[in-house]
Amino acid sequence: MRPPVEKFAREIAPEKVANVSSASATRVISRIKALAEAFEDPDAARRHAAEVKNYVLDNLKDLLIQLEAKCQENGIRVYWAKDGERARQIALEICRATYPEGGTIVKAKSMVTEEIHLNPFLEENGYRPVETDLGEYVVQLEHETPSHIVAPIVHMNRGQVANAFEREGLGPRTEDPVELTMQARAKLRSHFREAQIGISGVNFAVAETGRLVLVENEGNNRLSTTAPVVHIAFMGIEKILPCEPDLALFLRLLGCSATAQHMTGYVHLISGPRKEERDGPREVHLILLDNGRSRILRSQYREILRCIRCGACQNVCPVYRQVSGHAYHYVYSGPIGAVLAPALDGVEKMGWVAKASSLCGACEEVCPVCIPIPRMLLQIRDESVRAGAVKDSVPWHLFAKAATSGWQWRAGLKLLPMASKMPHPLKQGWTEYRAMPHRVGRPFRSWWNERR
Amino acid sequence: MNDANADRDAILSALPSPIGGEPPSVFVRIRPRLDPQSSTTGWEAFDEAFVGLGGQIVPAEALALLLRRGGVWADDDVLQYLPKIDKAASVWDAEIGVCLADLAIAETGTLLISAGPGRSRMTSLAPCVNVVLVHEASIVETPEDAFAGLPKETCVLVSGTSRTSDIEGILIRGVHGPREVYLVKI
Repeated sequence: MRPPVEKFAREIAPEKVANVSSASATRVISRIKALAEAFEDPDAARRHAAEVKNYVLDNLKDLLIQLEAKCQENGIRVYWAKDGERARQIALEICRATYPEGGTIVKAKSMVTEEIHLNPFLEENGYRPVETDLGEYVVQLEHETPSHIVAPIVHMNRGQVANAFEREGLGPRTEDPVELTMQARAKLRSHFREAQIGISGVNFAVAETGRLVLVENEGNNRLSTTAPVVHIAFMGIEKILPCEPDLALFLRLLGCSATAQHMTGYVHLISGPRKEERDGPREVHLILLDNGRSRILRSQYREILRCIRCGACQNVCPVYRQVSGHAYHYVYSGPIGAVLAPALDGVEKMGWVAKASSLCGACEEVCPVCIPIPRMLLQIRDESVRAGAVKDSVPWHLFAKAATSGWQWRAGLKLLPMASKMPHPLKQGWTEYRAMPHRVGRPFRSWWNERR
Repeated sequence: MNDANADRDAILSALPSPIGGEPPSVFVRIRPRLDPQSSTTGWEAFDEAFVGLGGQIVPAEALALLLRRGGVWADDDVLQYLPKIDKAASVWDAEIGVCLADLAIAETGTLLISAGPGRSRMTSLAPCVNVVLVHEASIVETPEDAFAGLPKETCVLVSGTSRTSDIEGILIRGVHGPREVYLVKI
């Protein structure tokens, strides 16, 4: 039986693969250029960022308490949610207090709200969440899920966007990206003006000052968190930075790694609700979400919590480029998803995604916080097999038996010249696309024994 | 909410005991000198970066002409620098938003705009055109300099126009925020 990711890859439309691989390749090259322009030694910057995040993970308890106190001083109401269910309930209570009869909620792009499936829940309860990031808006219209952390519709082209907008009556059909963008702008403006509640994620939260930091390029994130009367921010508990000067390093690394920008278009530093200024939300609510993170912190995958969600590992991954984000069947895809999915939801359910990797190591090389993703993928594979969640196919199982027994291995080597002429289940995946190499010369072992 | 406190206790008790110690010192960045000949600083560097991000620099004399294009939404502290304006009914209806930046960051062409009395957070966001005034003296070299002493209020760092590249990676300016950003040095 083929692994699910491979099965998905066989059925995926060639058009989709072309969209994903060309967009990712561009981002890989521009990222290197941006980092080289920003730092004399980009690797030193990455290592330093990893150290800062390690400090945060080592002292998460103290930093969370400090963040809570500072946010409250700033007038931000803080809630704690041990899982998605609790986080959704807390959000619903806030929504009910603002909008007892239901209404429109504008949403800024946020992976953590995808993680807890907030939109369907709000809809069931009579609210109308509208995604306002251009890519996320298209995803929502198409009833899809984002296929990339940073570029949610990297798998689509302009024709597909045009179809969606035409169907929804946003304006006369056009395939001009500028026109399409202006149609979305006009439509979403009306939502920004009517919505009483805005929901967002958080990129960084500064413990020392209780400031929430949100980055974006479009302006929809600022609008969602500025125009409505109530702002609800969701944040994974690992998103803390100790102090504000750390932001310079992290914003540079995030900007370069995600979109090859030295500074993302807008960096919104929220110090609470409206004070003396003329506008801004009257209430800011911060929901701190655990949802398995405290468990990961105690596991062998703790370093995955350093992740700043830049998507660089997705762009560089040869498997991701061929299969797209949807192959992972999880909110986080690519190398980061292949670790986060089993780490959050358990290897029993999600262990199989760790197989979707060639272990080439490119993800670790580009990671702005040096997460050893390939090592973790091996650990997940090991754990999955031990837990019986992932079973090797019969030929591989037999191969593993033979390869770990001295006499069977030696006997197998003797038979190899003969076996290479026969059809063999082990060769299937290889010979489908390539020729089987011919054996030349003699076995290494006999050569070595003579020289020794 | 008792439930909420229960979750707080549950999360905090699930976290390991803090190790303590000082956080790593702030990263001291060394800027690469890719081309020493063309390395600029100050306003010269800012102008180059800002224009590269789609911004435009206009002299103070051109302000009157610029503001004639439509309804204006201006923060209180910039009124003294403006000629007579056609005031928009609301920030949503304004064609042009005018505000004062606290600081310009030379290396990245970034403007720091904070909230405060008589200011709107939406001025630099909702109108199609954003005109930003900045004092000649309010410039720092790098983001590191700016983050060493941010204002306490809610603020935003603006680097260029609002933009997206969600559709096929094509850069489009003016998605939800301003399509044009002008800078006037005062």
